[in-house]
Amino acid sequence: MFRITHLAAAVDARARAIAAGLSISELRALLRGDKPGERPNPRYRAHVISFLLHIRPRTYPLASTWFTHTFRLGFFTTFFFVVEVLTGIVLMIYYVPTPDQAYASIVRLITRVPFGELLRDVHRLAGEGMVACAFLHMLRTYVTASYKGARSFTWLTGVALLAITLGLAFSGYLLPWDQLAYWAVTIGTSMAAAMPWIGKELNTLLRGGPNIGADGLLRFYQLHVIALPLAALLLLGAHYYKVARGHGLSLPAHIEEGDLPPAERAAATRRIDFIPDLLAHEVFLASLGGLALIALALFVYDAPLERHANPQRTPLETAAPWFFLWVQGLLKLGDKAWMGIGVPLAAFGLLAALPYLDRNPSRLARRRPLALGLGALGVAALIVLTYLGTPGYGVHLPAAVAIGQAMAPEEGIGPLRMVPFDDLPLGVFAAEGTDEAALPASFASVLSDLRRRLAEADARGALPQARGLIIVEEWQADLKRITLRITWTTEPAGETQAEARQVYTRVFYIHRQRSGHD
Amino acid sequence: MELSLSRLLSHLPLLARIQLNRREVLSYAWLGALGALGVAAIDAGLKFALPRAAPGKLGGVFDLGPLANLPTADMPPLSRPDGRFWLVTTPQGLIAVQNVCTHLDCLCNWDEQARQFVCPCHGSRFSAEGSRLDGPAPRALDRLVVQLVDAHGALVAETDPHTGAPLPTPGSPDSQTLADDAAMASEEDEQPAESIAPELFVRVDTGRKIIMATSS
Repeated sequence: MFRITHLAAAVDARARAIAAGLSISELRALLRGDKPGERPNPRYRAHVISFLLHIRPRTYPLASTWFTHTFRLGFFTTFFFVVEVLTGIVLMIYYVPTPDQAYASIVRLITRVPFGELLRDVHRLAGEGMVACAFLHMLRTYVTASYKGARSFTWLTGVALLAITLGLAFSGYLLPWDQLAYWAVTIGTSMAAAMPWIGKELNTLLRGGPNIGADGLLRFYQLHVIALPLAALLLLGAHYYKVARGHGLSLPAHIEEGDLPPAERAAATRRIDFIPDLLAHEVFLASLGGLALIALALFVYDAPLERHANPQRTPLETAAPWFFLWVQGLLKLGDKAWMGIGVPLAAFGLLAALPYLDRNPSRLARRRPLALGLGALGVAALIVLTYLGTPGYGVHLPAAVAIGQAMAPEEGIGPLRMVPFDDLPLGVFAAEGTDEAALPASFASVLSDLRRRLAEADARGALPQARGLIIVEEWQADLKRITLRITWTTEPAGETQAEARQVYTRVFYIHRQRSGHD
Repeated sequence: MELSLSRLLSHLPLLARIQLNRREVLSYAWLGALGALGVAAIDAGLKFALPRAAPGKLGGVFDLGPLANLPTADMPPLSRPDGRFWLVTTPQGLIAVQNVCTHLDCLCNWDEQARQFVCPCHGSRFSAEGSRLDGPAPRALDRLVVQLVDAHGALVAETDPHTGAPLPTPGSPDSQTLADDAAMASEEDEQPAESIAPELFVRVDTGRKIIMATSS
């Protein structure tokens, strides 16, 4: 009898040592939703003696946890960061950061390694989610004016975290060493060169030489897996600690400042415990987020992988990642030093200085029309610039090349590659005058698509008397060679000389067992 | 007990007013030394990380074969992606135009329809001679030095590296100077200047980049 109680006490002591002072019966009380069984409350003490819990507040005023106040955007930013760290560490097992092996290691990862493609998709998707949530979190903080007074330093760490998040996304972009990566980073580092005084050095420092090569890839890899994550972790700690020990989550402005009946205010500011209520809520949100990530990565989202990087050829329609389209839009507007560096730096400078510029003490929306108006203007500018940054705007491909890109793009799939292998009949097919009834439906529709595009370009005067051909040849067993040929005259409509015709040709190959990536 | 240093400092009126004591002065001294050490460490770090490779790795001389085999002015220019340039034949002579867009280093493509160079990234357009027509690029495409050599590899003529003007070839309107050069070169071989024009070969020196004036 004596021994059993002795043993029970020893087990309990072990449990307390591991579970931040919570005994086994206390842990069970948490799961049952019971009130704390000991005094002083061991659930509060856990926030003092546990490292992980000490950066979380022990209680929250109820209104600060309303979903419509925070939308859990900060939580999801951190959640995505954790997902990035975990999946990133696993991906490092197979990734090789050298130009001759990087691309092959990704191909191997997504074709040969069980769950490899899923992991890569989740990593990329969560990275984009982190950028989106960080931005929206900042927007929410701006709209609810939660950057004022004691929170100004927290806002500053948040601005730095947004910059680091963008840096993480950008540095990860180069690692697959495909065309998209190589040229997006060439543009990005070339922008850095436009910086006054330090630009040239910064450019060479990042690229590791005059052009991006083995040195540059290694540098971006190092930034992506060590330097930037460490900086993010440090700042994230400061960001969280200020919330936990400094000022807490902000209340909705109308609760903090509004003219509320005392009973309503008391109900809204009633404090609820982090353990177990909010902790359980966060576990639920994380599970939901994890499930959504995996489902999207499995069924909807494919991390892009273009062709192997070719330093001798810039692909048509080079696109920045969506969260940098606004910079690409700025670049199309003017000088790279002013637009590419000056405006983004000024925007970040304004964001950082915001708590010191905005001296209006009120947080109520109706008392800060100027701040909200400027904010709406900023978001509108961002949307317009993003639109300007899309590849179609501002870059005019030659008409024939544009049709070639639309039918069978250099990167990606396009309608011509979508035709099933067995539906590609051998032979020469003119866009006009082919008996489409005799052809497989999918191929016939591509042919009529081509005819429509040619007629449209002809009508525009871009391709006078345009004619199109699709030639399908059996090249090897299970391999077909497709030739798309467009010819037109340079003369205005009228006389037709065979020798004056211009020719545009695009050739590619389709294998019977092509994968979805092609 | 008072050190002479602190007594000396106390004679300076400003320092006397803010009342530095000995410990504070020494603290500033070692903090300053630490700061200087930090700056030196940053400098050392930059020296460590800045690549030492000479700029312009492509810097070699590219052989483009006999002059007679080059595309004529109405054909697309000769593309050498490995050297990042095109050789453009113009009525005035030969120009080696770098294909690196002066905006953000994308490689331009030749648009045969418009006879222009088009940057696929942000839509800058350049004429066949490389001068800026449209788009965000700040200046004309850079040029490289074109060289004409004879069968023995002796230099007959090359692009003026200051102006980057087209290098005249026999048959082009400005070819008088070239003919003189060729004549001089052939004199060294003790051949009469009136003999059949010697066969010329074209080379491009990618190590010598000519940045064109912004106005062009």
